[in-house]
Amino acid sequence: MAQVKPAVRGTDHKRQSIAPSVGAALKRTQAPGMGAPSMRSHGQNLETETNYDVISMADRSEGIYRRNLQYENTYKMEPDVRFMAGCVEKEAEDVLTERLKDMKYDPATCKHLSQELAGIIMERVKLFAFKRYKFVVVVSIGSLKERPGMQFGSRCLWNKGTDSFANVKFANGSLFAVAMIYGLYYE
Amino acid sequence: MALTTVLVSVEGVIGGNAYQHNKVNQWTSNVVEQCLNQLTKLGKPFKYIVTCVIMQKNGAGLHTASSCFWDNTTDGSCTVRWENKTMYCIVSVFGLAI
Repeated sequence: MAQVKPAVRGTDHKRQSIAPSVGAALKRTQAPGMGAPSMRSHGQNLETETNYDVISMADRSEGIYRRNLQYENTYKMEPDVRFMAGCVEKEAEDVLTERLKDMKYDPATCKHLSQELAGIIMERVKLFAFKRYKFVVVVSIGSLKERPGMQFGSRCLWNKGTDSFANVKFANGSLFAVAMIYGLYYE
Repeated sequence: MALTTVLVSVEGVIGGNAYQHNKVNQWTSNVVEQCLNQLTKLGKPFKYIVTCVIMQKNGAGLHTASSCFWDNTTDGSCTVRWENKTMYCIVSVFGLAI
């Protein structure tokens, strides 16, 4: 069996977001008729159709895949434009009303609906283009038929000058929805 | 480690109690505050968001989804579901690096 030097994969954008501990699967299958592929350059990786995902620390200096990007300090402690909770709230309310006004609660559809709504609200928030902000959107949809007692609570540890959140509630006859959108400044 | 911290906090606050509508408000606040305090004690350079939902066991359904725009290599989240005979408690912790 030929010795293969493990190389880093840099061009697969999906993999770039996986933490190294997760991406260290060593399973490798060789495509038939391919001999011993050289894994040094990522160009060849794409051709050989192998199924492995080894992230080697030794090859990091090649610069193909850099996990810890070092950004230069901007010395900006405050954002130019703060997270405007009022606008975001209105936008989220519009989304919820538009998508849910005639919906009936159904476990199968609401499961996908909540994920879809979280995605849609995230896209709308990104359109505001708040610079250097990270966002977290949490959407909960529940049924009202059984009239459950419920309480939502939330606390955050953040910089109160720059960070904020927006809270939206919606209810129709058979379901309710709650969306919480947090904007945190990345110094 | 965040997981055990959260579980311990939840157990501590609502451990042996049955769902009581007048106390639920206080419970959510306490659970969230305790979680946050424990997380702060870890001393890591993170901003935290802790959310807690306490729901009566009534046969009703609840779906929660979250979408996050952050740096996947440094930020993460963890959700813990706790229940007893009368209620469910769902705690989500989001940690974002500074």
